[in-house]
Amino acid sequence: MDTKWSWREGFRFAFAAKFVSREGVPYAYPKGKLEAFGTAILRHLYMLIDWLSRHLQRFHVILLVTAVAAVTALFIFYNIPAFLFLGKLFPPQWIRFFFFIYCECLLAAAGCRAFGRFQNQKLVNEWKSGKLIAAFPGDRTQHTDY
Amino acid sequence: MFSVRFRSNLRFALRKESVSDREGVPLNRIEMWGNYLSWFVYEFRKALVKLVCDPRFVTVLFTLVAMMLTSLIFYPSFTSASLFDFVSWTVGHINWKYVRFALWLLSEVTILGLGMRAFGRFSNQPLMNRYFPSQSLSQ
Repeated sequence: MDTKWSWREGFRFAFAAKFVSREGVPYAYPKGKLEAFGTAILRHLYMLIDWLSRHLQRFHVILLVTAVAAVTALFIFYNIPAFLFLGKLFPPQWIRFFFFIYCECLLAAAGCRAFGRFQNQKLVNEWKSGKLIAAFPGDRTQHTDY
Repeated sequence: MFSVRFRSNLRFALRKESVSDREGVPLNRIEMWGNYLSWFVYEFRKALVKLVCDPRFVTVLFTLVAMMLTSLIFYPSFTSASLFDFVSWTVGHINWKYVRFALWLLSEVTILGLGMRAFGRFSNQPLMNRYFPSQSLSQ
């Protein structure tokens, strides 16, 4: 593979939710096993980001995001009391293990998907010929099917 | 004057043209063997650059580093201890005498290869005429 990639272009290609043609039509292509696996794992995350970016102006969404940010800050700065508080409901080591596995799965899925895309020569050729546009969650397109 | 001549000769000796540039001037046997032996200087660098610039390699590397960092964040003591054990086990199982011997052999072979290909190029008259046309005219 002698195709030259800039970092920006490579990241856009690897993390795009999907590809759309210049006319705005979603580009359908056969996905490899790695890409299909990564897409299946990451779908909920992309849908969440898309939903948040679309409805961020609503009051209850702002409230939800603020609450999640506050709990995250609580975990970061005072992790032991937070774990103790949550530990009444769930054992802290389980929570940590769950988040650890979740993060590792997300990273592995992102890597698998990116690798699968770079491995797909047909997709790379289409992208390099400038026929495709990378669509990201929250873009002003009508295509929300991730 | 001497430095210019020395530099141009050195450049000629170490230069490696693409196949299209060598059209009409075939390699002689000594240069061909020199090319094989000096693989580490020319081809290895190209292969390494090609590998590092390959987005698939970068993807795998970034994914592994990110997963390891995540592991360090969630389980710092366990991960660092495991990493330290792995590195010390690996280093402990390397026989440094063999490494030194391999590096010495590689450097000797590479130097011999560079010398052979330089000799082969200087004894290739059509190639010399192409690179140093003024000298060929004066002769």
